[in-house]
Amino acid sequence: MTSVFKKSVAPLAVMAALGAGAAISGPAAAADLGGDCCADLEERIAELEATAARKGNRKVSLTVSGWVNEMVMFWDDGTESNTYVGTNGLEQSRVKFSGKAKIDKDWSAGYTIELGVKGGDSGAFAQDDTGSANSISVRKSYWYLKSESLGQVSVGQNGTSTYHLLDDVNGFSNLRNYSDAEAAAVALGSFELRDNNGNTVGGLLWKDALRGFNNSTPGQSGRRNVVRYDTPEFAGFSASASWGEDDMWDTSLSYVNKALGDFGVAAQVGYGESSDPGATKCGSNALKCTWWGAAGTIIHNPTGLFVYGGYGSQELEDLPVAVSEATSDFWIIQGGIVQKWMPLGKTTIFGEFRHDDAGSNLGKTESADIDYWAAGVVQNIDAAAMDVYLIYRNASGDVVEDGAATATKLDDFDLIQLGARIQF
Amino acid sequence: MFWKREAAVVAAALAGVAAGAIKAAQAGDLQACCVDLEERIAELEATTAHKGNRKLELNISGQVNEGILFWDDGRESNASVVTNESSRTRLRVEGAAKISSDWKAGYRIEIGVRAANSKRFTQDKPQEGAGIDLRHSYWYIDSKTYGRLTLGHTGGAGEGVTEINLAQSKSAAKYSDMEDLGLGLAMRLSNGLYSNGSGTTTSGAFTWRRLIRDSGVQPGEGRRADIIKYETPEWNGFTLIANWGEDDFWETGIGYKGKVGGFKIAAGIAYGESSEIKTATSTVGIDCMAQNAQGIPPGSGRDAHCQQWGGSISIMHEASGLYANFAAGKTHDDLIRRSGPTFSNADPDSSFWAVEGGLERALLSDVSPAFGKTTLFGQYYDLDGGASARSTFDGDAILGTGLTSYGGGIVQGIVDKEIQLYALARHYRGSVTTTAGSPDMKPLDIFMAGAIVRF
Repeated sequence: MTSVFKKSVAPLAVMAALGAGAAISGPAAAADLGGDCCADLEERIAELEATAARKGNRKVSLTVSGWVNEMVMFWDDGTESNTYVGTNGLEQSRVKFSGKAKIDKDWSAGYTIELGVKGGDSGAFAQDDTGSANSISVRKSYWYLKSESLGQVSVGQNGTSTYHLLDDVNGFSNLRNYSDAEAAAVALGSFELRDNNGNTVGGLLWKDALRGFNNSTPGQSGRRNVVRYDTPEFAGFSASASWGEDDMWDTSLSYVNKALGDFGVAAQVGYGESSDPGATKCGSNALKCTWWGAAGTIIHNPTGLFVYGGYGSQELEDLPVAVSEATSDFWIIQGGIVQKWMPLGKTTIFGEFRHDDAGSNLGKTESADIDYWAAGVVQNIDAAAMDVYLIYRNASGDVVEDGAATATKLDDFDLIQLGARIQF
Repeated sequence: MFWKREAAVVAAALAGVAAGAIKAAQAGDLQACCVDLEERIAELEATTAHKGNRKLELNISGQVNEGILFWDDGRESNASVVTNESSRTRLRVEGAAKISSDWKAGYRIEIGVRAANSKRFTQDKPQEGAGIDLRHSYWYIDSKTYGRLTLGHTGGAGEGVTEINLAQSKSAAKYSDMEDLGLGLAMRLSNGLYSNGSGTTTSGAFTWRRLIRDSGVQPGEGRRADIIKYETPEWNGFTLIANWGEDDFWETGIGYKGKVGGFKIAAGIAYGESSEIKTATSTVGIDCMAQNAQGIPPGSGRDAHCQQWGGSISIMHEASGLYANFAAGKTHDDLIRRSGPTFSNADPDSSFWAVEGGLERALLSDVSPAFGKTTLFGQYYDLDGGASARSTFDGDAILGTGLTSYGGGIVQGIVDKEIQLYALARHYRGSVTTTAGSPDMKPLDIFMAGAIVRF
């Protein structure tokens, strides 16, 4: 029978079915799981496939990171003043390629290649030089094997165990990259000394009067071609030892606890020796040098009040001639507050004092006494992984030139740094 | 009524079947979709590079621009593979992060690569000037309302201001920057020998680029340097720029980019002054010809001082692809006449003008959609160079220089503009006026074919 309902039910059924179907799928499901969702994901994945950078193989990861750290620096040596623009040589701009691969549950392997770039190098700023020797250099190039239970061995150009020995402890205040232990010496190292009459002092630079083979800061080493071993962390403690060049070795012990009650605490101590004056630059005629240093910081987490301090020493040994002072040392104290007073990010306000009792620089100086003080503010812009800094520094002291019987009083050196570091 | 009840049952049954079918189909599609997407995401996870944090973008880009350059200096001819300095090989990392709806911050690091240098190689040294260097390293803070502040190593208002070109030829052969293609070659006297007593070897000989303000940088053009730069927000296509840096130079300029009627227009003009001392290793923003490093001693109270202006304009008729470029620039050196008695009446000014005309159209799109635009171009350049207190020619002071060039070529885009093949030829004629006269010099011809691939 061909009843009339056949003609009329079909559309009803379809309508019902559509209605039921719509009810089953529902608006939420349609949005979350339906074709639109897949289409959206499809588009987004296709975009990634078309635009994402690929790496060389599927087994070892690759992360590209780095930062740009550029600033304006005003300086006044008592006779002349000027303002330069350049890369902050304390922690220069850089690009880093790093990665790792898991070998098994316990073992992994990895690598780092880090290239440093400098426009005008603030570490080379001088009265007649804006440090404009643009350069690209290899900062680090090493591989490592790491066991969660046994520690890590790395081989290549890398920081030795006392690299940034004193600086790295200063990690709670966001001052590590702007005003660490060596910041004062780096800021004015290449400027010529002037006496109180405005005359230059035998053509000497501030870094000639200061000692410490790495960034004019005794107690710290640098990046070298070394084999380095780092222990696993145990209850906040870790240790390190490295050897390389021809020959140098050093070792360090670290402790970090970010939440010891209301306090964060970090400390580090290290010792090193070198019979390779070329590599460690202890002095052109030094046959051996030793160095050691220690630093610590404590922060009260609720208030953000912090104190940081450090001491470093370097001694020249086995010298072919007698020198006035074979030992150079320095100490630094820094205090301040770090708080998030505004939504933009944390603000750090600090003051610091550093004193150098510098020993002999063969052929240049007998000794020197240098005082630094500094104050500044660092404002973090969290959304852009950026820190803006404004720092004032003053240096003063006296130096005994090579062969001189009396010290020459130095004219004060003042500088202001205004810049920013943006991390990617 | 029966039919109503029957109809209701059937409708319900159909509804159930349809719902099930839809659900099953959806589940099936979804499963297939998810499997596919899962595989593709896993592939991305396994093969892509990662960046250092989640806040700032990281884009890696760059280009490779290499070609074969044939040259004939009137006595000798040869060919070698070089990096094209018109827009050389480079690698760039850059990114930005939004701070608020109005503000953002960003950065760029760019490394230049020269496998062999098309503006430094000589007759004897095909690899001269090869290496890597830093082109850009800066951060910026940008407001839609207030403009952009940039700090670091980069170009200022004068950078590229005499080289504006809407056509593809800008990457193959700049119409206003002659130094780029072959002018590291030593000039030959009419007898075929090199100058400065060099005879048959290029060491110490006067090179073609020395005609252009000794450094090779055209008058009015800026350089990348360590600067602080401010750029206004764009207003009807216009942007104002001011920068200061090094020790010391400053520039200010105005740029325009827009459309008027059926024409695309880009233009810029900049003015700058410098008192900067060039040392052996320094990069300077504006290179003054006479300065204390070249015979005027420090402490003499006669620091370098020069001023310059430069500008260029490029207009392209969108419908036909016909275009024209014009550029000019001038540099005045305050100290050249005080560089010694020889220069008491020397020309303190260096100036140039250059023009390019051509056609840029998709002439080969019918052959294959892979072909992009074809650019046919012709160029003319004229330099009236001033005195040089830096170099000498055969032991005599240089009181003036001249350089003219004409040439032409073709650029073929492939895959839009990402790959460009090019071939071009140039003829150079140079002159040097010294205290001893104006020696006859042989002309120089070059031909270059190559490609630029952008990534």
